[in-house]
Amino acid sequence: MFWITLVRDFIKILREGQTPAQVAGGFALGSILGLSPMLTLQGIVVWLIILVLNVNLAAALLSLSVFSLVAWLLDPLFHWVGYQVLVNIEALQSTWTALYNAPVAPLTRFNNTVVMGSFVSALLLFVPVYIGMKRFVVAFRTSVGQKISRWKVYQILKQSRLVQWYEKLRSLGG
Amino acid sequence: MRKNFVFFVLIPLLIVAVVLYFFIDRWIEAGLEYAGEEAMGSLVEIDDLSLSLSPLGITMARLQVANPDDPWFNLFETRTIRFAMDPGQLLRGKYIIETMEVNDCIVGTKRTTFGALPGSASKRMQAASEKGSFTALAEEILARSVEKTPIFDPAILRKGINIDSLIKAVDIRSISHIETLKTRATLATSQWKATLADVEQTKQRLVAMDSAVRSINPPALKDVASITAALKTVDDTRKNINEIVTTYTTRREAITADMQQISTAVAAIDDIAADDYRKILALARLPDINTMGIAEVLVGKQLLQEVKTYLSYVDLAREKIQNYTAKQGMETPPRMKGQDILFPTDRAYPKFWIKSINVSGGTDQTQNPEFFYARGQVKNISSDQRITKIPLTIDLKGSRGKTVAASLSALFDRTRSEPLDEYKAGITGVPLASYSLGREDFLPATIKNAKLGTNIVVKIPGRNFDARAELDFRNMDIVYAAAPANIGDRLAREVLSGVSGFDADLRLWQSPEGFKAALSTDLDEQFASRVKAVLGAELAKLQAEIRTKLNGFINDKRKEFEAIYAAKRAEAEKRLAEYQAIVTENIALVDAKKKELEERLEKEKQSRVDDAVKKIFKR
Repeated sequence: MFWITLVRDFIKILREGQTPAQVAGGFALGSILGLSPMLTLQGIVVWLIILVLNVNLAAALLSLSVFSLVAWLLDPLFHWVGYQVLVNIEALQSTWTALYNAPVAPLTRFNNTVVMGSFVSALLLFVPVYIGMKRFVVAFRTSVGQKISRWKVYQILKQSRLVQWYEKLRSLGG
Repeated sequence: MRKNFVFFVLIPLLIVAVVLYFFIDRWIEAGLEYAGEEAMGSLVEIDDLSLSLSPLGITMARLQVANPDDPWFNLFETRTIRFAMDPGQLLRGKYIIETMEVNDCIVGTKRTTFGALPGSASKRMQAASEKGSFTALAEEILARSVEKTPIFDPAILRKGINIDSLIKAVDIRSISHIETLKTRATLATSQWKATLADVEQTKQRLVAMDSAVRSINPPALKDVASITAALKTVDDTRKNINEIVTTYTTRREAITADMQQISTAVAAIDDIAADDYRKILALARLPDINTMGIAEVLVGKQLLQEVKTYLSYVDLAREKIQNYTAKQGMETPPRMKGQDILFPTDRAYPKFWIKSINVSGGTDQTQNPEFFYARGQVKNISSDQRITKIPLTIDLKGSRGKTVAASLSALFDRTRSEPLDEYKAGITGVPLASYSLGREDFLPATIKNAKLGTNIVVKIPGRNFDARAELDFRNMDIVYAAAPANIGDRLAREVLSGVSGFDADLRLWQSPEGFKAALSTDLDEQFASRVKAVLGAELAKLQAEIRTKLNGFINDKRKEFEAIYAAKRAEAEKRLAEYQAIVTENIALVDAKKKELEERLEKEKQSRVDDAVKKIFKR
């Protein structure tokens, strides 16, 4: 139910409300959270950024969900990338050793291959995801949105009693 | 009173505490026994373990570790062991022990129960004798050293030896080497033939060029144009000759290289023949007087047996003390878990680290009233020396009564990419109740009431190995098991009769050719000279016969090869020399003709200038 509402809210946001940059920013930051394992220092920092900056939260949550699935699929690739970065790049060895000995850095779990591989990938994808999403929002608002609003799936989603009931409950909670 | 709190929190907590109080000692004991058995591959038994909370530590009344190679004996057994752990590191899952007290550690005690783990004994035995282990290498040396004892009996020597059958029995490498050379020479000469045929073709071109250049007659050329044309022809010819020379040089070098390689291989025949000769001598069991090693027949067998035992401990140390890994290998972790890469740390602790063990103990007093007692320190036993950056060291000093003193120091360094093991051991004044000498078929004897001193230094960097042992036998009486069997036996006894002691040196080392052993004593020279004096004539005669026969055999084959090769080589050299002469002659002719033409051209130009000047003045 939460996810249905989230998708509907997201489509609503795509059509109106926050600026394309805010939506794209939320989506791009959410992609970092989705791709990387969450219980890390950098995960908390990204959460703080999302909460501090006025980016779109629904976009961030949707992105988190989508990219978590992508992360699960690409896990062997992340492990490989992380291993190469941590072990096979000689120039970085002194940096990793220094970080390993630093008091707070181990909380980032940077020495884990999947954490390092996914974080590097997320950083590399951040700008393309941001630009791509921004363009998509603009395009959506100008032309694609009209077509989607005519889709039956969207109509069903919009009219769904379950969704309406969930929204009432949510509004009760303030 | 909060009833819920009492029922759901306090009472369960109390039950857990009571269970822990009664059973935690047993659990820790079982856990340590299991970990020890996993590490040693034999039964590990702990008695009366008790855990104290302040300071956090463990005391155990007795620890027995069965010998995996002989499960009816313990590798060692201790009385009280006491140690305290660092509670801060224990919370992080690390077992850091500052000082451990191990009292009355006794080596090699008899067990009342069989100490093997089901299915583990055969596995360990297999590991110790794996190809490439030091024990396996020692076994190989031992097998080599207990080969037949040389014949010293003059009667047998005089009767003679069937040299022909000996030559047939030995795989004579020089013969197979000559056969290979023959094949190689046949191949090479056929290649030369093809090369020389090519050279022959260019020879025709050279002759044609020669006649073309000779046909140029510079004085007959009357104008600049015809001289220039002739000069161009000469230059072109020179270029062609240069090309021919380049090709010829490459071919000549290839042929010369072949010749040199074959010559080197021919020169090696003598060395290989010398090896063959030594092999036949060994098969004939004739002693080589010049390198006579009494050490090998005196103490070789016994000493190498002992070395083998010690090397099994070296193998054990190599196997058990964890090595430094420069690069962590890539694993396949479960999905979304990843692999943690470890980096060197300044303040980190390994999983397990005993900084110091004060140990005391010795051999089993119940089995041997001459109880050996030692005391010392073992420092820095850790699960990862890369983290502690300190190698494991052992320093022990011991004594037996007032006469025997011993020391052992060892270092196991796994902090670098190449492991390094070093052992230094020394013992003095060991009374030898009995030490066997010689072999069954030569000088079977026992040393009685001697004093033995030993110094051993072993260095094992990586897979290399260098061990030196010095043994000095003093105040010895030799008891012979039988009357002298042959003259060699008698001579050895004569040498030994005048001495009350001798020094033996053993060196075992890894050379590029393999594992090697060398043994010598200070009696070698005396023994060799005695053998030479008594048996020298017979031996020399027999050796000369063998050498003559072998040389004859090899020379026949060598002649066959030389018959094939020498003529072809001479032919090739002759043709190359002829060709070289033609080339040199051609070059000289072309260069001379060019010079002549250039002078002619210069003269012609000068006369033209003079004519022009004359014409100007006439006007």
